[in-house]
Amino acid sequence: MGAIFQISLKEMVRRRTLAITLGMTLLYLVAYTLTLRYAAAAVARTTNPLMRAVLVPQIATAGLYFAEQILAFFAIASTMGALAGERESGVMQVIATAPVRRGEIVLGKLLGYWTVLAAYAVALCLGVFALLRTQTGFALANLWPTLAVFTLQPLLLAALTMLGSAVLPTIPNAVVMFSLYAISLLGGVLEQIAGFTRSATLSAIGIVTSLLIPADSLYRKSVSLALAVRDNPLAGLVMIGPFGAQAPPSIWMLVYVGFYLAACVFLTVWLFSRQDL
Amino acid sequence: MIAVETQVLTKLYRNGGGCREVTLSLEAGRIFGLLGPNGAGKSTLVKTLVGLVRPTSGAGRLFGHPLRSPEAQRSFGFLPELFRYQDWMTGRELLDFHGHLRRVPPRDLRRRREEVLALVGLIGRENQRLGSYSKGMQQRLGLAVALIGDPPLLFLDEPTSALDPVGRREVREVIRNLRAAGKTVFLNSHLLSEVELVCDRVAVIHQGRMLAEGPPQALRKREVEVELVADQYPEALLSGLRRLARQVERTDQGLRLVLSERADIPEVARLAVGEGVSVYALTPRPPALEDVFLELVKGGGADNGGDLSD
Repeated sequence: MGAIFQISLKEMVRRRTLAITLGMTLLYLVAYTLTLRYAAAAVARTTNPLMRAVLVPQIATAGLYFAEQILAFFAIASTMGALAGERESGVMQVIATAPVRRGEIVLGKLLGYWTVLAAYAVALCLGVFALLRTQTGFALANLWPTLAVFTLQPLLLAALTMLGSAVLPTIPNAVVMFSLYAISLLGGVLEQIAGFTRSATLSAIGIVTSLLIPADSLYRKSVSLALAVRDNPLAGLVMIGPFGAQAPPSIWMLVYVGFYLAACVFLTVWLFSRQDL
Repeated sequence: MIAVETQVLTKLYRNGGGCREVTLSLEAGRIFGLLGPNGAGKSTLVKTLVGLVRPTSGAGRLFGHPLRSPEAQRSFGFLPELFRYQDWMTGRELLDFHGHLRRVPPRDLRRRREEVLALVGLIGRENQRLGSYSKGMQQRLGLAVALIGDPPLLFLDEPTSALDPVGRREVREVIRNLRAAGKTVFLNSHLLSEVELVCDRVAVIHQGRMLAEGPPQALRKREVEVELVADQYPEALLSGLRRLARQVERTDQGLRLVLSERADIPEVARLAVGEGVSVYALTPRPPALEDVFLELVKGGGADNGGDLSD
């Protein structure tokens, strides 16, 4: 498994996907820095206490939200052909005939992808934290728990995409995964609206989509941790909006994500092991 | 020692394709050629033997170990028919990766890498990215990958399909060297000339079934073509030849006869001399494997029997 892990790491680093993602992330961080500067200046000018209380936190959630989008796209794009691509190119035929179990191939690859994705997620999240602090003086809370939950989302998407890659060709797998992710985002927004309007139906739809793919739930959980500002009397307002967490997922959602991840990995190993290549 | 052994091995896909009831036994140190037209089931048989697909029924062993067992997987190297290695890797990285997968001890890996690179003629190209390799170079590298673990058995699926004539010749030379080194080679090909030139044993597969198996010479001697040149061809001689030969045909030089077996050639001479004909030439021309192959495939092999072992 060590050889597969190493090659998977190298693949992540060498392929253009990482370089392009890095470039676009830099562009994003520059844009975000400009936004924060504008926000800081606006807050300094305003006498409106409501705007003073919610503007920067709103931009903070937006920063985390779009950073999570970049990570999601990176996770899906880099793993969409993890098994299918090599099956299609014939490379897998040589790897799978080596004296190595199919499960080792899956785990070695996944661990390689996870390592790079986790490092990228931590760096990006820390970047958003640091920019907020330096540009506006706003400090997000619960740094390490936020980082941990924030990082879980790309790992979950990578595991799910790899499962898809065990059964679907590369491009159809990418279509399915991006669609599932879109459904997850929709569910998250619906839950936000449900929290605001107290609609049981919207809340139920949101919960079902979260169970189907709990990617957005992880973002909502991480943002609820990052913005847990106890001494802010307007904390409730901070969480309003598409990027907030009106009804943050409970700890049980994290337990569910644990089982979800384990199921994805187990199913991928099981399907790939039984597959004719 | 038997390197490859199958008993009524069958792999059927949902579309009905695959290979059916293949029984064969291949001694170690031989070069075995599996011939068949495209879609005959050659690749399916190889994929079943190397553990890429699960057999529908039947069984097989590599050096006595059941297919897909770790011991069986350790015993061979494999060059697939269609592949394109990761374009972001260099040749050296690819060989090192497969060396690790094949459990080549780290202290031996460098030496082994240099050996296989030299064998396939890629010394000096190993630090190039695979994306810049031509198809022929990729094919040679694929052969090097199959050899990196120094396995006793090699499955080569259409190893020369992407090569030019020079490359083909070099690969044939590599295969002969492997035999000299005591390796067993299972060669899949639709190129009859290639199989004819390097293989000790040949099998013909068509529509998933093994039609015949044996040494190339045994396949060839199934019928023989003879050219008879004489001063005259009286009707009595022609009718006698028609009774003896499967086919009698006038050519510019004389008569072309297709005989059932080599033992009929002296009878042709006796018939001609008996009719008072002066014989200038009686030249046997063994049919190329291609002719036998086409005949087998056309006839489905039903009247040919399966085993041609001598």
